[in-house]
Parts: sequence; structure tokens; C-alpha cells
Amino acid sequence: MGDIEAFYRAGKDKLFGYLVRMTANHDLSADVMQESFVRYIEHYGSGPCQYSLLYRIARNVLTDHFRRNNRFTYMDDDVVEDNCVTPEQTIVARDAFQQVLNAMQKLKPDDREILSLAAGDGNLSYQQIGEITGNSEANVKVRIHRARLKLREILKKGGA
Amino acid sequence: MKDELISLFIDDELDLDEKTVFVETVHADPTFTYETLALLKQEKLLSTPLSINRPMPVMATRWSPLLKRFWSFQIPFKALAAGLATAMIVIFVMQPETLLFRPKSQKLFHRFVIFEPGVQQAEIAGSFSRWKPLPMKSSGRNGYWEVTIELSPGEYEYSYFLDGKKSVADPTVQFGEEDDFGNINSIIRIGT
Repeated sequence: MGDIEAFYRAGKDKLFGYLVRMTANHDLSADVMQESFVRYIEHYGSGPCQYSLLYRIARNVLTDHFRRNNRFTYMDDDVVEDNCVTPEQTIVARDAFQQVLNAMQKLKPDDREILSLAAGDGNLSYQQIGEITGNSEANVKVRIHRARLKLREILKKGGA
Repeated sequence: MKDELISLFIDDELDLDEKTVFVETVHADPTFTYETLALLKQEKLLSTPLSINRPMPVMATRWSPLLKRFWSFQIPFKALAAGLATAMIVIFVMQPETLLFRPKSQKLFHRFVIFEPGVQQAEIAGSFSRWKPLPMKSSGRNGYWEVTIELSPGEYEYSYFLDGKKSVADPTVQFGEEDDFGNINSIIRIGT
């Protein structure tokens, strides 16, 4: 159980980040994060901890949960880690993040997913992303860059 | 092709040869450099650190909200006693084989019962119904409402809805979890 607890502590914020980038919905992301760990622990808790497997479960749980996606989409004040000095900076950071999240929602699901997986500190490797999405590493490499360029185009057009 | 080096650089996926090409290109091509900086800025924004404060989803933490509710006496004692009695009946008399002895692979019929004599309508909604409310049947005038649902083995969250609005956790079930609206959903394991 100790390993699982460490796995949960190390992985929950990263998985939550992936889900927020995918959905722009705090509540849904929190629910899916927790449900994913529940399923992981139930089925694979006794084996070695595998992030790729956890993310694959999260993808499935997210698909299952889209039926409940009738909640208001917003970012809670306490979701974005407060590394800013003043309240004004916090608001600016949150607004900027919300803007990029909104732009993400305009990408095709495949592009959104691959960028969501690649982003974040201590992000997943291309090999892991390939395992999660069922693509080759070479394919992941190409797709990530194309998706980044598409996101940039949307942001340039003020499409957020 | 060289453009993809930017993403490889951002994601720490460059090998030594690619690093050489990347640095040479940055020195030789201002447009490439500008593009790299723009995508780095975008990535930094997209990678904004997020945190979520939720306890690890194990039973030891799941049932604390319901326990709290128990100790604060928000659940009427009579209803609790009746609920527990009903649970005993359900488990040991009415359907012992469905809850205790059936193999995992089979679908199981589970009877949900709640004692609520003062309401006109009772429904149940849970993960098994995709949170769509299912009507419960009144068992005469004794205040019990019941519904039998066919379920695959697994864990389910659910709640009772009284008179179309009030959400009530199952007082006969030990484990519960608070949802994002402050309601307690009961958690039950079927056949596992």
C-alpha cells in the first residue's frame, strides 16, 4: 500500500493536469482523476506502478464520464498553484491559463489529447505517450509538433 | 523537418546529433529561434502547475464523511435502526446467495431499500444508471421503498432522491463519498 500511496501522491496532480487540459473542467477532471486511481488500485494495485496504464484508464474513464459533463466549466481559484506574488498576478496567470485551455478545446480531440499528455513538468516521454495512445514514437513526434502549431494558430487568431 | 526539433527540444527528446543540429539552426536562423521561443512560451502556459487536494481513494478515507454525519446525528436514529434492520433482512434472509455466494462473473440482483415513511416519491440514481433516477416502489403503508436492480459485480456509487429533490445516502451502507455539491453518495460493492 505504501507504494500505491507514493504513486498516488506523485501522480495525482499530473493526471489532474492532463485531464484539465483535456476538458477545461475542474470538477470533471477531479472526479475522473479519482475514479481512475480507484480502478487502477482495484485492478492493478498489487503490481508495479505504471503511469501509462493509469493514463489509459483515465482515457476510458473520461469517455465514460462525458455523459455527466453537464456541469459549468470553470477554473476554481485554488486550482492554479499560487506561485505568483500578488493577487493581481494570480488572476492574470489564471486568465492566461483559461485562455489557452479554451484554445485547446478548439483542437481536434486527437491533437488535444497528445498535447495534454506532453505538457506539464516531468511530462510523459514520447514512448509513454505512444503506449497510451497506441501510436509509434515516430508518429507521436510528428503529431505533437503539428498540434503545437495548430494551437499557436488558434491563439494567434484570438480564438480562445 | 527541422521544425520538429523544436518540439523535441521542448519535450527533452533530442538525441546528441539532433541537439547539434538544433543549436546550429538556432544560431543560423532567427525565424527558427523566434518560433522556438514562441512555442516555449505557449508550452509554459499550457504546463501551468495544477494541484488537487483529494485524499487517496481508499475505504479508510471514503467513509469518513458518512461517519461524521452519523456522529452529528443528522440521520434520525429510528430511520437508521430501520435501515440497519432492513440491511440485515436483505443480506441474511431475502437474497443471501446474490450478495454472498454468487461467482463474480454473474449478474446479480440487488434490492435497494430505504425507510422513508414521510415522502410521496422515492427514486434511486447511481453510477449503475448513469445517474438517471430510477423509481422505487412503495412497500405498502409501512414506509419502505424498494427497487431491485440487476448489476454486474463491481463498485457503485448511488444516492436516494426523495420527492424529486432531497438527496439521501443509504443509511444501511457503511461507505460513502462526498460529491462536489456536498451530498454524500453511498458506495457499495456488489459481488466482489
